[in-house]
Amino acid sequence: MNLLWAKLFTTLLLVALLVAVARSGRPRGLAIWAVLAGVLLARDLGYLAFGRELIVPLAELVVLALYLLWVRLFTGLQAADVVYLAVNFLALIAGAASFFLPWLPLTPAALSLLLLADVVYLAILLGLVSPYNTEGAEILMETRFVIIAGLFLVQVIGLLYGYAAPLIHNLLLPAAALIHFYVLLAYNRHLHAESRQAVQFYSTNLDSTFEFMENLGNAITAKIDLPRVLEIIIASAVHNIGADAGAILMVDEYEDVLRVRATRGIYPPLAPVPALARVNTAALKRYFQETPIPIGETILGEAVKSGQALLVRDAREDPRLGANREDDILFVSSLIAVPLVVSKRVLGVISTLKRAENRHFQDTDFQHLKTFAEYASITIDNLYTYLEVLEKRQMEREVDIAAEIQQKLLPGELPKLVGGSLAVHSRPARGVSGDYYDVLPLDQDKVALLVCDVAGKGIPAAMVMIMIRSITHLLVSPRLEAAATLTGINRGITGRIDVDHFATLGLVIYDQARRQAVYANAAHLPLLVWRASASKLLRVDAEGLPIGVEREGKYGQRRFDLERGDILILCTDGILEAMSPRNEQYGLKRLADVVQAACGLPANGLVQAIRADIERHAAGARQHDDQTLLVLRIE
Amino acid sequence: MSDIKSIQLNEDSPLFQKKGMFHKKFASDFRQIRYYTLMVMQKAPPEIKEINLLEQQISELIKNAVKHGNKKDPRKIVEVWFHFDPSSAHLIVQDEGRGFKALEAWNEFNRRRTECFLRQDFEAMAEFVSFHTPDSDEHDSGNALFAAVEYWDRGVVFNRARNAVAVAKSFPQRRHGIELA
Amino acid sequence: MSGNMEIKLRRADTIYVIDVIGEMDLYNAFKLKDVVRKMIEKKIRHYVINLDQVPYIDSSGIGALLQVFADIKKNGLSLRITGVKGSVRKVIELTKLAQYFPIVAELDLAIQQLKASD
Repeated sequence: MNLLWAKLFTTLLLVALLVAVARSGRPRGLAIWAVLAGVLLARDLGYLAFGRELIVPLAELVVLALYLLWVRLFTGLQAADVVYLAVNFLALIAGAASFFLPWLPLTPAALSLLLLADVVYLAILLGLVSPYNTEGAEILMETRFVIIAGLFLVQVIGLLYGYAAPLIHNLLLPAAALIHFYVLLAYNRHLHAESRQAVQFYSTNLDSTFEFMENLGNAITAKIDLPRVLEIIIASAVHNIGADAGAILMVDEYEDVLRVRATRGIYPPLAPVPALARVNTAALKRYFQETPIPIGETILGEAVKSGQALLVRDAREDPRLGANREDDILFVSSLIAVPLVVSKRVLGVISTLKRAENRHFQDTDFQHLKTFAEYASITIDNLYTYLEVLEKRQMEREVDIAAEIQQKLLPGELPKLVGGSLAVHSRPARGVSGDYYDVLPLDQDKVALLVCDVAGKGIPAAMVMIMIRSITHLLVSPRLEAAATLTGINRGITGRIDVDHFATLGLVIYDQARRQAVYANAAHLPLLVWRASASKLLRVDAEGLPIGVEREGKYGQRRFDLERGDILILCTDGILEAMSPRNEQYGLKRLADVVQAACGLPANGLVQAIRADIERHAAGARQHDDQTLLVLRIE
Repeated sequence: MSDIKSIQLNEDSPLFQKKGMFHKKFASDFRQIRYYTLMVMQKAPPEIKEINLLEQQISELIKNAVKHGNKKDPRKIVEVWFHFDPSSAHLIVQDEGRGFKALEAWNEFNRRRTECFLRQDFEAMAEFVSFHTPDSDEHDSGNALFAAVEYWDRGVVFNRARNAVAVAKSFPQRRHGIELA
Repeated sequence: MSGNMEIKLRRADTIYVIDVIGEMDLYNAFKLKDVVRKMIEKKIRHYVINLDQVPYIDSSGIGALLQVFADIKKNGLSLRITGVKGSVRKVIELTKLAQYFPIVAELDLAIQQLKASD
């Protein structure tokens, strides 16, 4: 049996193997192998037909070029390759031409020399491949020894003995095909392993993501607690990708800095650290947590600024981790940092570390953390929104509570007087007022009218109001003068450690029988008195400090007689300072004009008139301060 | 721009524009300084960041006017113009005193003090912890103004007579995260 | 006067903790100076001023701290300040005194440091 068939047989086997590989998935570069099989087939058939020895090295030229292309699938083409391919191509053309132009001095030996040079070039290329510069380098590294040694041997034998000798032709060439077999089989096995890994990656990724989501879900339903949610996120992330430490840093609400919000394990600062903070891990941890990182600075700040996730496989090779190289408390071996991004907004960054020497993160870890980060970002963003709503509601609730307290403090209905009519208007600037008014009948004849403006807002102001009201209700009596009442109120309020609020208070005690009024004033606005006889608005004032300034404060009072048609007006700043859209204050002058126009009306009508005029003046401009107006008209 | 801030002297500063500002007058009663401050603060929206700090800074300005400007003379008044919104505060505080004569000396003092700080030389800084003039008493340390030039980031400006100071600050707005460029 | 302030003393061996409670403002800050002055007269060597319960401080409060620190240094005694947070921290930072003052994050740590210096 002619061994010629062995050659053809091996080539056919190669084709069969190719078909099998193609069916199990389409690895990249499969076409190269198909061409290679085609070239071998053409070589064998051509040899059968023409019996020319030159065919063999010419086919080898193409085979080596295909090997180059295959390696370059992984590493990318280089400029030198063009020279290589061009020389091979020219040699191929020249070789084919020499069939017809026998005078061309192209011998199989000359081609063999070229082939050897090709193998050397290939050997250099393969020698340079490492996992750091080539993706999927493993298959090249696994097969490179066999490829180079095998191809080299074939070319050397070819050079020494030529390709025509039957032994060579029928044994060497089929044996050379074994190289291709080997590489193709290894490639196939590799692809299988890779796809198995991919499936496994996706399933573990899914599992851990689900677990992570479940943890988060539990944390969120229990109570909205952002710090705790961040703790869970970082704990899950560190656990799932087998990191030694992790940290979440969030962008500050006001400044362009990152603040550490959660850590797991010992996450050292990625920058030089003062000696004092290096004494032990507790100090280091505290230093890391308390030192804000400007956005753009350190590797974490860079990740936030750029929005790009990054993997530093080996920290020794990254100058940005220069502070973490020494074998000390700061040592970092490998790092992943993924910015937390939601619709083009960077909320912060999640980062994990390996800290044991020579332990590095892999691409799969990187992918894992990216998946986590994506989910965490959306969760955190939702929490932010939710917390803001909650905060707003809390504020509104506080306003509601204060408003409710206040509502209870104010008299429900003003008492009816024999010798006069009473009316009030009170309007808070923002839900809750710092103003308080009261009307207290003291006996058959005397009635106390007071208007009070507490400095401050919200519940604390409402508490001060309650205290003032309680003390006032306790103190007032027909026998106690207005000034003495204020002295008592002030003494009751001032100097309490839990009260740091002040109030102004104007107090009128009106004696209906005598048609006489007394005004005492704790730095409130003067009492406005409309004299019907003179058609004039007068200001009546008395000396005194605001309530709460000085415990031993003294208060003066003014006593004056009234006539029918006279009007007493107690009001707060918010009335006289009501702003128009053009930033003009309402003012006393304008108030006097309305009172003059409406002085014939009972208190109720007068209050309506003043109110309407203020509204005309404000013309929809924002109300800055609470407005209270208490009016007594002598009938 | 140098890192070291100073008190300006400029009658024509836009910070002296009083249009649209609230206005209040107070007697120079030392006991009521915090009360006056609250009266001013009443117009400040609660959204302002670190509103307690704003109150403290305003209180210092009123205190300076009452104590150093009007020498606590109750017949002399302190006038305050003010305007607030959630993103800024603007105040003018004017007294009836003889004016801040030591303004230049203070600036020089603050410059040297800040240089010590920037060098992180706290030994040398010990010489500059308190600024004293012949008028100051044992309670004065100049700290109010050291803080003021830092706090009022849009300027601390005196008028020509040096008895009115205008200050302004912008407040950072709260946000979650930064936009990607 | 409003915004009262109290001072309470605690003792841990040779170390005295001065708890300031309330607002250290222009009306109250002098109290701290008085207390420390008396303590120096009584030859007390180690002081911790705890500002944990101080919600508000102004330049007079800062002035009091400076005075107290100077008095303590002049007499060769030792001081730590703790509980510096919130607006108190802000005011100290604005005056650039955060590193000038012997501020220690926690009370326990301050006591430990003073004990070690004994």
